[in-house]
Amino acid sequence: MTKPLAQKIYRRDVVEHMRNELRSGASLESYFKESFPAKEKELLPSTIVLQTKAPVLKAPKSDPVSADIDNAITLYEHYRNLDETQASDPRLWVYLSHVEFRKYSLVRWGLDGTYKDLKDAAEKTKAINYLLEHWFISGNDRDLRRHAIARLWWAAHLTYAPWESDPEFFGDLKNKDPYYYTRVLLSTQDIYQQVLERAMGRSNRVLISVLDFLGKNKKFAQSRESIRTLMKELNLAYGTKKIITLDRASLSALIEKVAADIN
Amino acid sequence: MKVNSKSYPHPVLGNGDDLGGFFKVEFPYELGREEVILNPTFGLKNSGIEELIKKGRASFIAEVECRSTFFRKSFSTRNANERFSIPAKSLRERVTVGFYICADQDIKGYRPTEPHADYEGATFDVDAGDVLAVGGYSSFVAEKSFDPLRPPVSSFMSITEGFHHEGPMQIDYDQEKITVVLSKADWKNYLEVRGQKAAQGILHGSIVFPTLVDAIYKIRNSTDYEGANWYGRLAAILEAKSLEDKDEFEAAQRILDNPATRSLKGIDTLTSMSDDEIYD
Repeated sequence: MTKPLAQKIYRRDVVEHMRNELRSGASLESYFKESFPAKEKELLPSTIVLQTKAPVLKAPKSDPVSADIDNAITLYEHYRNLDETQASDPRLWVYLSHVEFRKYSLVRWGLDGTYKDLKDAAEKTKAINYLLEHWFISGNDRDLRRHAIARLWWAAHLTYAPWESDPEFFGDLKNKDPYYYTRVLLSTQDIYQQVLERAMGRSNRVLISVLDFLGKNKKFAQSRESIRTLMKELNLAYGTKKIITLDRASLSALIEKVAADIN
Repeated sequence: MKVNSKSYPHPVLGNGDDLGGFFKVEFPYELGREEVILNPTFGLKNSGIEELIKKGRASFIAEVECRSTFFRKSFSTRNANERFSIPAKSLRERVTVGFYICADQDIKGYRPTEPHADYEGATFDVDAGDVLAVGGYSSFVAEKSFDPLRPPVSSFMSITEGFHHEGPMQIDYDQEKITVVLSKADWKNYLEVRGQKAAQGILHGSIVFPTLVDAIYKIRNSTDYEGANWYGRLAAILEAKSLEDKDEFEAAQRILDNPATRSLKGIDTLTSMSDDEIYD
């Protein structure tokens, strides 16, 4: 049996230094390289205990988005014991994107071309902002949604077998596939962005109910504009109606009604 | 407790002068290692809404939201005093709690009591989930070791070395903490004094205090930094110390416990001590 491993994380001051180095442009070139050795003195052993070594995430260069679902499941299975507090710690995710899953991060959320292709200051600034968005976290859920690795874990965590986490509300949705709603969420970039980018997405009951609707209405789910309008309308309704307090049947009926009005 | 006025399709208690009476919420909370306990007490005076709650047609709602952990959940009760428990691991940093009274079912022909003259005699069709009363919202920092009444400045502010060799200090609000960036020359001098107890008041007066005044101004005049950790912590401190209606200058002095006085005492101590005495 493999000896349990303590997940390594960066020290907080190291994360801040790395962020400053990138922001200044000093480390920009390193984000084109696969090698990024972490020095032991920069790391801390965390309280996260792992039974196996980190898995390899798929990084097909031709269509990296297509591997999101498999990668989310692989990652979540490996880090199933994380709680929400641990899973919102920037030190963990910055370490994982820069070191443990660097190859994946470079393919999926890296920069195109080479460092020399960045001709002027404007291009460099744009590249830096892109990297800050996908390789670093400041601590809010917007950063977690956009971070190369954190987004995969959270996509799976927020959608894994809701009938187990909230049986009273979602008992009737029981499915053989515990990742059914993860698959719906990551089936297109539009669903992920439009559903999770809205404040509504923070409510697990609203999130799963919307995904349940989208899973059953595939034509609707293929339209970015329809999904965007649905979430916008639900947000607007939330101003005067606490839809989070509704029972499942009423919430589903409301989503269907709003969607019907869009079509 | 803050309340934002909104335009509702029906009169709502607590929303401007829509209805007579009041809906007030006392909101003590406990930050435990395993769980966070919310212990709201709901004070309601409006006979129509009181009657709806008594008949099971409306409930008190506490809506809890934590942007750091994708947490958004509502808790419902018809008791005037209730205890809600949330696993501590589900919350991190700033947590916002909003209080409402919502309809539990569709109410056709709802006739509010004590309405503003504009609504006198009017009836409304209210749906399940519709807000009938707003009690405002509050926030706290869900850090078990963080006591907002005794905040270490280091919990929301840090001082670092910049790239510029000399010149004025700069403030970076885009970090987890407010980051004061000193020139290399200032940083070198800062390192020499920061371990000295007597220098703490001087550093608070010269570096932390002006930064804090600016940060409080930012909180009150901009929504750009709402997601930042420092924003949540500083907002919670202002609320916990009841400094929300104080101007930035006074609020910052209260948080830092009169930095001018401490600076002057520090200078007096340093000038009267020999080099061997100043480190503790």
